[in-house]
Amino acid sequence: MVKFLEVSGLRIGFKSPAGLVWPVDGVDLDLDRGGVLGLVGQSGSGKSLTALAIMGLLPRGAVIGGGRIVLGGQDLLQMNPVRRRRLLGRVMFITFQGSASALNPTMTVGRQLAETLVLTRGLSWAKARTRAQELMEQVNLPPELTESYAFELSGGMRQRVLVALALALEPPLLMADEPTTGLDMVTQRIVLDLLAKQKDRPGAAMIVISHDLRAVGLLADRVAVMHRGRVVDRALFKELPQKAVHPHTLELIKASRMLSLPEAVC
Amino acid sequence: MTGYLIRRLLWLPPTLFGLSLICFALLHLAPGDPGELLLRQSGGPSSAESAAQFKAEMGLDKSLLQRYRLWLGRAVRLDLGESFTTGEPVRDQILSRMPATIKLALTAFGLMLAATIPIGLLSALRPQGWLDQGSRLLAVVFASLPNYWFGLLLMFLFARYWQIFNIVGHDRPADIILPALTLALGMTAVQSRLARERFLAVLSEDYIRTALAKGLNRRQVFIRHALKNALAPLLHLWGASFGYLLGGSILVETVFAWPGAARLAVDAVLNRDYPVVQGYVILMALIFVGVNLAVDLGHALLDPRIRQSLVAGEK
Amino acid sequence: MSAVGSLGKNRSLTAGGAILALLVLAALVGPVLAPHDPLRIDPLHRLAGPGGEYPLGTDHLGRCVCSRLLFGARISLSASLAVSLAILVLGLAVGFVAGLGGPRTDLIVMRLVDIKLAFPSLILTLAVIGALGPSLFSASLGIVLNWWPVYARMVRGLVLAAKEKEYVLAARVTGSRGLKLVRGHLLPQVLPPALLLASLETGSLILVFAGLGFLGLGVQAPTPEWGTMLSEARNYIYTAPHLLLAPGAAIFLAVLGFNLLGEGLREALNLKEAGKW
Repeated sequence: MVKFLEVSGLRIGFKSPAGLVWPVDGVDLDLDRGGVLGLVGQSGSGKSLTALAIMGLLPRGAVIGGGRIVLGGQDLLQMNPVRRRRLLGRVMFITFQGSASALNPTMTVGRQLAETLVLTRGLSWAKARTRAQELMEQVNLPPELTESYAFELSGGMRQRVLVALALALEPPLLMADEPTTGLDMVTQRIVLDLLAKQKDRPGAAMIVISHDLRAVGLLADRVAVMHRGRVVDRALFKELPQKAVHPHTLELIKASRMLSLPEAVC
Repeated sequence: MTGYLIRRLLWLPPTLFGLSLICFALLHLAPGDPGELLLRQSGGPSSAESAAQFKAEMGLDKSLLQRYRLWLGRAVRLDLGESFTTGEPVRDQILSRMPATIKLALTAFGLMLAATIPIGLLSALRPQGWLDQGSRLLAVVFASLPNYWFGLLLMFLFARYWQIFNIVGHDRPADIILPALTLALGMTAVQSRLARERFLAVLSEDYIRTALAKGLNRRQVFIRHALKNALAPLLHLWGASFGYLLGGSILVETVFAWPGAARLAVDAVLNRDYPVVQGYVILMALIFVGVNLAVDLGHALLDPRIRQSLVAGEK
Repeated sequence: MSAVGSLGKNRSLTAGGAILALLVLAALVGPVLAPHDPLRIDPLHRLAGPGGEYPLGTDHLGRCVCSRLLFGARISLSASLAVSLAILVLGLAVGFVAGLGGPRTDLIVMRLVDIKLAFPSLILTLAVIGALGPSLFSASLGIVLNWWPVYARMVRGLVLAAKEKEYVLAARVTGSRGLKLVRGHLLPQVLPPALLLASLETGSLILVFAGLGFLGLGVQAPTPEWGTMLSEARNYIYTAPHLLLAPGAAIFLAVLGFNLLGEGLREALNLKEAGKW
């Protein structure tokens, strides 16, 4: 069966004074419709860059040095850039870590939700505003918060607004980059539950990116562990402790066990 | 964040006080007794007796502090004394020349903005592209170009060689083009690089990526998300640049014989007409303080963090 | 790739250095090369075109433009460097006071610097010259009084950075205080970059000096100075436009040399941007 998303041999490089360096150096991933893949690794392991490459939103100065990113049978890297950009927000979407800069600091969050629907889905502003309030309620935020600015919200609230954006777009491929980083345990749980609802949408696939194995475990059915630009272990989440071979993976498992509470997944 | 504007406003009195001290010092601590100078300039009697009488009239026999107080009392009412050379009130003389200076500076400012924003943005969109490299080179060249020389060359080329503009006139709308262009050139070169830095910084923010990821096109992302966020810091740069355009008008007005206040001030310096020089500096300082205040207000309007703290303060 | 290695490929640096070398050479050996006495008046050859006895022609009094230009290089360069040095001394003093005087002093001094920096320097320079009367001295004083804040801010930053260096901390712990600390440990840290940055500011000082000369507020006639030459040429813009070219180009090239050098040095020393992801 053809995979929904298939990344193979992906290399991403940066120019440095010492020549080209390759923070992503031959990554292979695949994902079926309805599946949730957890991409785990330390910061700098290349997981976020991989996600950005799939989106086509790599930072300035990054070059793709080889590989294929095939989505729904089409190689994104061979695609005409204009057509590829049209996939954003319609076929795929990514939520960044809910730091203050993930949302525009000078626009109310409600307007940022509403403009998405107006500009990409053709809704009227009146309808979009109503829908924005509904979306806020769906992520357990009071609808009045549509009038607030990002700096007035807590990190957890901002992360939920980003999830609300994902709900507004309902993309077939959703990626969440560090959705729980910097949040307290209770808020982490709320955000993960909201994302878990996302994966129940028919045909939706998700990639959860985190350095925290437990956070990924609540959502993902499969995990890929990245280390220094490569995938060093991949397995069904349940089988990871048995199948892990790379010392880095074993360390991640050990760390998550030490931290885990009795009812947690690991 | 609270009290951003209040903090800014609190700096106004010390700023004005400092400027008033400078202006006072310039007139009263200059080598040579101002009273004597004044008498000499007006060709009046120069006997010791009449000089003393004159000093008493002018309040020059009082202590420095008393003199400062007297001077300040008049200065706040914009009573800036009379010109040594014409005997006219300095205020009237400068105010009658002010519109020409303001018109020139504003036109140059408009030209600068019209060039700065697109150049800054386009070079930020394609760093190391031809426009970016070109504008970087031109910035160094134009920042090194003496605008008084450039103005003279323009004058020669347009008026003499191509016979397009008549330099002698100042009445037709077209007459302002060459002086304004001359004044704007160097500042445009520098400011478009600064604008590029600013746009580049904003364009690499996460919320720009979020906006692109949502499916907004580049134009929408720029207008709705980048512009306003880049604007607040740019506003401060532009406020400062307006002040420097006013300073630059000192040279450009002389080149083009533009009948503005800056040229009046240069002539006053050459004629040792202190009250006019002082009046010019005071008026420029007031304009400068006003522009800075406007910039702070504009920043507050653009930035919800500051705006909301203001609203909260009013409640 | 080392910083030294990248210098070779740095075109701004090479071009700026070449221009400045030429300029310094002109200032040093100019008097030998000059075909005439820059002050000699030749009433029979007023406003002569370039060529022959006068390589760049003569001005309205029949003085040799080429000779005046070469002598002018001395004046522009030496005046700018002297002023630059004076500003550096003032900037060092204020910067050290701000950097070492504790947070309250620092705040007050830096506020003063901010206020001064925000106000257009040329206007206040004009005010100083207005008070003292136009001369090379008052122009220089006006520039010094108005340009020190740039240097003070820079020195303060360098002092604050140097203060946190480990061996300076060690010296402080072992009891080095006051002037001894400044002379023995801080000055060697602060002076080289301050000197470097100060020399780069010289370009803008030349521009201002020549501008004041052009206004008749700086160097006074008949001393040969580029700005003054330009202002004299202005009156003959229609009859002898070639007089505009040489002095203006000289100012432009001198400033360009310093600015290119500065741009090149910034590029060479700032490897941060290249290494940043």
